[in-house]
Amino acid sequence: MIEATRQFVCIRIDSYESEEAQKIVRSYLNGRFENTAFCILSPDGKRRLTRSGRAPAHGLGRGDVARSLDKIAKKYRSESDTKNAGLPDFNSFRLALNVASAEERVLVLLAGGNEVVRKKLSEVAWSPNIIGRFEYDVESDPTTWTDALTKETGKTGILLVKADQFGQKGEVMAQLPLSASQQEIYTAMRQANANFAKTTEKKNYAQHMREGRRSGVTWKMPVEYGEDRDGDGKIDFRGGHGERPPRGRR
Amino acid sequence: MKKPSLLFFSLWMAGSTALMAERPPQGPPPEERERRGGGERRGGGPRPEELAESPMDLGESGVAWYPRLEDGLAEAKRTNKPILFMAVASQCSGISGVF
Repeated sequence: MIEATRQFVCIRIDSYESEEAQKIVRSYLNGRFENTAFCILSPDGKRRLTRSGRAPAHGLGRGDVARSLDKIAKKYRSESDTKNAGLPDFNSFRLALNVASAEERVLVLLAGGNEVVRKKLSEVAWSPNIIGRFEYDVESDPTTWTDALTKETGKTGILLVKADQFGQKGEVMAQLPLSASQQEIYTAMRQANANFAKTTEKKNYAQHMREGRRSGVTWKMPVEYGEDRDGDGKIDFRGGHGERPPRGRR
Repeated sequence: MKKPSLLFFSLWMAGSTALMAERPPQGPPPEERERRGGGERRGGGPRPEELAESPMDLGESGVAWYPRLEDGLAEAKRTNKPILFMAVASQCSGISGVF
């Protein structure tokens, strides 16, 4: 299944990170806004190649998802060379840390540096044995991350970060200088990934939610949670307190 | 062992990296729907309280995501690859660290 996704450029935005993100979701969901959305698009992003919905089965149908993806991908003659692929990046470190926690992956923070360093890291990021195992974020201003992290040894470098359970704090597992070679970066990332897998307890979602509530964890996004399932432009479901969302048109 | 429908939702909700599954969503069983106060199934799958762990091992290779639309579009233009697009909330009921 994961191999099938390599034939695509996979984009995942956070539904509540900005008003712009909401507009994007609405444009792909026929004006509706829901907290999860899925669809396949043409390479120029302008045409939907599947129905859109909340889950792959809504867009790809009730068959073999990998086969459906293969069928779509085969219609395009595409460049498979990842040497010049861009480095993934989040709009904020705060979001990057939270997603790394939710995804249960090590976060690679490129603090400082220039395009040369970015390209160097990007080539490692897309290489076999590294691809699909990390989250990445690029920050030029150290004040965006220094308060959230411990064990850092400087305000620039390539930091390999383990986010905490609720993705609001993190610990630096290793830190490389910006001058590190690709081989050094690759080795450090492989080691960090192995250590992470060995020392981290996999999340149990029910338990996570219970512990979060017990600890009083709160998380505010720039846009308040809500859904517009009937696509009339107004948020009609805010969730919580046992509310049931209205059924929207598909 | 988890039931296939629950496994699908584990794959889906437990981290969109593990979003691909072979069974379509089926929702909670009738007695659970009744407990919730109605037979009407909510869209999108079960609540996290109904799920357990991600079936993917930690450190395993998953989907390689671009978190920003503009970066992904630039890459899709460069490679002529179609786009697999998702939007998710990286929190549940105000609790972070989970999709």
